[in-house]
Amino acid sequence: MAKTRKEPDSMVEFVRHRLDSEDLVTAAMIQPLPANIQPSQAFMDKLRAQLLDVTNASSSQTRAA
Amino acid sequence: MASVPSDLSEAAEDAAAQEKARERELEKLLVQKAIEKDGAAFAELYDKHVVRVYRHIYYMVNDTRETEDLTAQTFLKAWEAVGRYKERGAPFVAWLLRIAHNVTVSHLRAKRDHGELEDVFVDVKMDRNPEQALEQSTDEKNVREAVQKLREEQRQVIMLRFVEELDYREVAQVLGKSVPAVRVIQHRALGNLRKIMQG
Repeated sequence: MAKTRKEPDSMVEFVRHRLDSEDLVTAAMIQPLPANIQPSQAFMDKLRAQLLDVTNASSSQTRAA
Repeated sequence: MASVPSDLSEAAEDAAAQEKARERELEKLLVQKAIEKDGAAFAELYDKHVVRVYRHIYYMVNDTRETEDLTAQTFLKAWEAVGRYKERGAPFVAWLLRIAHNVTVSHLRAKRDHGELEDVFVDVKMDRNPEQALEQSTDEKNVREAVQKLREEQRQVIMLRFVEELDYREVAQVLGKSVPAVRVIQHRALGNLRKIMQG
């Protein structure tokens, strides 16, 4: 009797554990990008200059208004 | 004597925690200035987060030129929207990543609608031995392709949790959902990823 009561519980635990383990395995496959994927310095400098142009222009507009 | 290494490691941990707290305070200050339309403060935030934003976008498009365009769009949109930014406990970079994600998804949708979406997941890792690189790049390619096939919400949770390595609380704050809801989405997303990868 005790055995028949225990089995469904164990099965639930087994399935729950199995699902968790599967999730862990799947999650482990999702890797961040390799470290060598980086923006070039030229690109970062160019975009920074562009942003400063835009931010200065909008600050001037705010002051003028 | 035995307590010395422990004391040292505790001291190192304290110092690291203090440094983190100091960085958070500095960032808060920069964000507040940016909200008030201080361009120099926004440029400092850009310096701090541009690499992370770039890599997040690259993961989705796998093309340098497109990534550069989308990174620029992300920061221009962020500057336009920063006045409405509300600090809700998540780091500022999480807000930038949400903009980057939305900009990239719109771009990919437009490409798909114009029939331009090709197999863009090519190998970019030249610093491994060829066999190892091929095997690993095939796995990575399969996973990245599978991630792109997830529903929008599931893809975003997967990327924020496992590519950006944010914790549940941070992801919940970025998406405006509860932590249990994020857990459920993650569980379903991982299940769907398995199905997609098993074909």
